[in-house]
Amino acid sequence: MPRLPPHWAAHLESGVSHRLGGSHADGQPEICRGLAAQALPDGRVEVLLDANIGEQLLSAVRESGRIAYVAARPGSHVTLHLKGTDAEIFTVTAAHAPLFERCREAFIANVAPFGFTREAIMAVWYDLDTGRLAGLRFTPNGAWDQTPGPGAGQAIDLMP
Amino acid sequence: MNENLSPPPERRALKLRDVRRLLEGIIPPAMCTVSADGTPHVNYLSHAEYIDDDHVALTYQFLNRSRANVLATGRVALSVEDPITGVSVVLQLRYERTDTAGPVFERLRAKLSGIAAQTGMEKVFHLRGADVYRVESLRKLDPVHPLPAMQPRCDLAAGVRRLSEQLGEAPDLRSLLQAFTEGLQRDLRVSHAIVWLLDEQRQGLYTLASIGYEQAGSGAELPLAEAGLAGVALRENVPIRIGHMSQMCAYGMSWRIKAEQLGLQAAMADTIPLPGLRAPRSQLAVPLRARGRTVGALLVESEHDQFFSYDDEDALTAVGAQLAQGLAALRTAELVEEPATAAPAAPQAGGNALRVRHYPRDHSVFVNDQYLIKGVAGAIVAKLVRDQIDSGREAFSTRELRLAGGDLRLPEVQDNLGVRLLLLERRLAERDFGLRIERAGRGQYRLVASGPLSLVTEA
Repeated sequence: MPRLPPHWAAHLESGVSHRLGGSHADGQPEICRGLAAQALPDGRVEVLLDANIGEQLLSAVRESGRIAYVAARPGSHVTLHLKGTDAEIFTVTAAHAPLFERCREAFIANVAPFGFTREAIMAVWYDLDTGRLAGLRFTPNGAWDQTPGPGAGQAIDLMP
Repeated sequence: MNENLSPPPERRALKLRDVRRLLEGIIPPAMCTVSADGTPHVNYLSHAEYIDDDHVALTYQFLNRSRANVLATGRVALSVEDPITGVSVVLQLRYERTDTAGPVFERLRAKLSGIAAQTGMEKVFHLRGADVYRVESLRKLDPVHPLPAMQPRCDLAAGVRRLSEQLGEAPDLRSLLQAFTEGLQRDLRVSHAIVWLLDEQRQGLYTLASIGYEQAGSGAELPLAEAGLAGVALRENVPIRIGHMSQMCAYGMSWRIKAEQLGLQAAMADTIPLPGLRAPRSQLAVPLRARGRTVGALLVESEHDQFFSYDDEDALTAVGAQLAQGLAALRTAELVEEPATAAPAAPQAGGNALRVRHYPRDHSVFVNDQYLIKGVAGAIVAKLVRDQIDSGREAFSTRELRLAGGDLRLPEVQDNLGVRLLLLERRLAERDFGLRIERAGRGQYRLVASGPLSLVTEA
């Protein structure tokens, strides 16, 4: 199964801003924010999101399985774009708590220089019970470096 | 049963106007486009632009996947977020057209260039077109715990009304400017502002008035190309606003650094230190328009993030237009003289001597080796000092200056004399050399010196 190169896999947990895009069976696009992500040893990628905020996106994923995922690092603007066609929804359990906390803490540290406080970030996005989280899992079938600049959109070679 | 009873009022649906401040990229908006085969694609935007309740414009900067998808299917989901309350909104959009000229394009381009300069992305951001979309639906998404909405700092509509009334009562340029600067503070709760006027000949801006700075900087000049948000607003004729300037650098800061450097040696240099906050967190620049021309720009600043809103753009555009109209009308009025009164000789002043040096090449003027002003205002003050030394007369009229305009080779004297005199009056008051201009009636003034005057004209 294709896998992300290690530094791009690490990027997912480095305090990035996560965005998920999907499309319904009739082609209507959907978009929502994600909260945490990781690359699994088998190459698949897991993204956690607020199920309330992501209700329409989850509905689109159920219909089509298509997913676009962007991880952009505040400040450096380093941006990874992944796509998949086999996205599935899974139940988030306590086992995901360490991942959730790692991503949350790294994100809070990254946005602090821009005036966003821990309290605000927690209140708006992260102060959630596990029961309100949903998980999406997919196999990246394409990856791009979407960092703004001349090289934006350059394909990333996935490892075999 | 009465069948004429009105139906119960429907709950008002969320309108784009209600959420327009979310479009501005404090948190960069994200869009999802979709290709003909249904593949989604996510992209970040610098900002989105409110056009009306049914339309937004998005920047078209690159020939990329998003662009191809938009042209193929026309469908976009746009996510915008409010950093203050945590609310987010997802808009379903349908592509209608791409503008490559016209007001929507200019507004988007101006804002983009402002954001690009503030974030050091000038080489990355280039606007090819303004993609105009119809808003098909809006979906509001509440955060986990809503943050308290900020209370508006004042009732802007009522403030505009009060300020507008004051402007309408102003009989001359001085009181117009006073009403404007006082009203900004009292009625619109703006603590830091600069009124820049355009010097078309020199392609620069000069400060007519400011509020809230240690150095008022009346007469301070800045090339248009270096004038930051005010320059872009003026050039593009569009209000420009930035509300989260922690990433800022480039030109905004260069003013302050320049001002700081000049502050150390301004006494001898032929430059007036620029007014302005050292580290602004919010800025809004509004072009000042009158009679189909842009005559200057109003810049307001704050040390707080997100201090100004779309509503401030509306409010300041309205009162700024009234100020500009007033400046245009009253500067002509200043040229109409009241019947000349007897011009008494200047009394012998008993204060310290005032040694005036004048450099005709740029009309810079120094008083007791301290820089005063240059350009048109410098030429005027040099002439007035010379006349007073020659004739002993304090009084002068705008008519005399208009007639002297040709001799001084200053075409602007005809055009903008009232404003230049007001500027000179303010600058003299700020410097407090013992030399001041007093208005004695419409078109009638006095140059009052606290001590004996001498004038040296340098080569």
